[in-house]
Amino acid sequence: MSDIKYQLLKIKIAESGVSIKFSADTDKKYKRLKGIFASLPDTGNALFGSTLELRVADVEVFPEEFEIKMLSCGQNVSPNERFYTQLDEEAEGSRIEGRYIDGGNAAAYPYTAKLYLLLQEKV
Amino acid sequence: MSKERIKLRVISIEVSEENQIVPIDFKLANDIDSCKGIFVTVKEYLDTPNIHIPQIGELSLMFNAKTKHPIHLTTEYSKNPFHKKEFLDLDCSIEPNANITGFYTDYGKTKNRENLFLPYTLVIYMACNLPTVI
Repeated sequence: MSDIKYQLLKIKIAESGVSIKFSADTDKKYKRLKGIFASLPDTGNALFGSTLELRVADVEVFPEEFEIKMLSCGQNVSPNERFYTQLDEEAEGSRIEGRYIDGGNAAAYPYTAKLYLLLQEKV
Repeated sequence: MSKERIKLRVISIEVSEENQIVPIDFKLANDIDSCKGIFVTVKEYLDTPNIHIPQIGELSLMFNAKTKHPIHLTTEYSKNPFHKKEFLDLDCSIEPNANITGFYTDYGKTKNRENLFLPYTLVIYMACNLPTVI
C-alpha cells in the first residue's frame, strides 16, 4: 500500500511583479514526489502571467517561464484529480528550490500562493 | 539500465499584430529522444468581451528536418484558467540536432470592446523524454 502525504508550501507575494526565491525540504518519511497542485487566493487573474521555476534535489522540474496556471484548476475538477502528475522525483528530505514571479494581475496584494506536494511511498 | 524522465521545454511566441504570421525555428537539447506531449496556452489575461474564444490562431510544427508534421492545430483563449491541464498526447521520436520548425498564424480574434487588437504571448509546452542511465 502506498502511503500518501500532502505537504504544504506557502509563498508570500508582497507586491505586484515581485520575484520570490524560496526553498524547503520534502518530508523525510516519504520516498517519492508524485504531484504538485498550486492554489492562489483570488478568482483567477493572479494566475495569468505568474511563473514558477522549480528544482528538486538539483534536478529541473519546471523550467523558466513555466506558468503557475499549469498547476492549478478549479472546483469543476475533483480534489483528487487536481494535481499535476507528470513528475516522479526523489523525496526523502530532498531540497526544493524555486522562484515564483508574480504576473501583476492579482486582485489584491499581498497574497499567499500555496503549493501542495503529493508525496508517496512512506519509508 | 536506463530510466525515462520528462523534461519540459517552454517556447514563447510573441504575437503583436493582428493576423501576424510568426515563423518558428528552434532546437531541442541533444539528449532528448522523443516528444511525449504538447500543451499550448496564452500567457496574459486579455480583456476580451468573451470568456472563451475557441479559435485565436493556428499552430503548425514539423520535426526532424521537416520529415514529420505531427502538429497542426487551432489554439484557443480562455479567461477561466481553472480547467485541468492535460497535455495532448504526442509520441514522436526526435533525431539529435534536428530543428523543430513551423509557424503560428494569428486569426485576429483577440480584441477588446473597442475592437482593438490585444497582443499576447503564446506559450508552447513540450513534454520531452530524456533517457537517463541508472
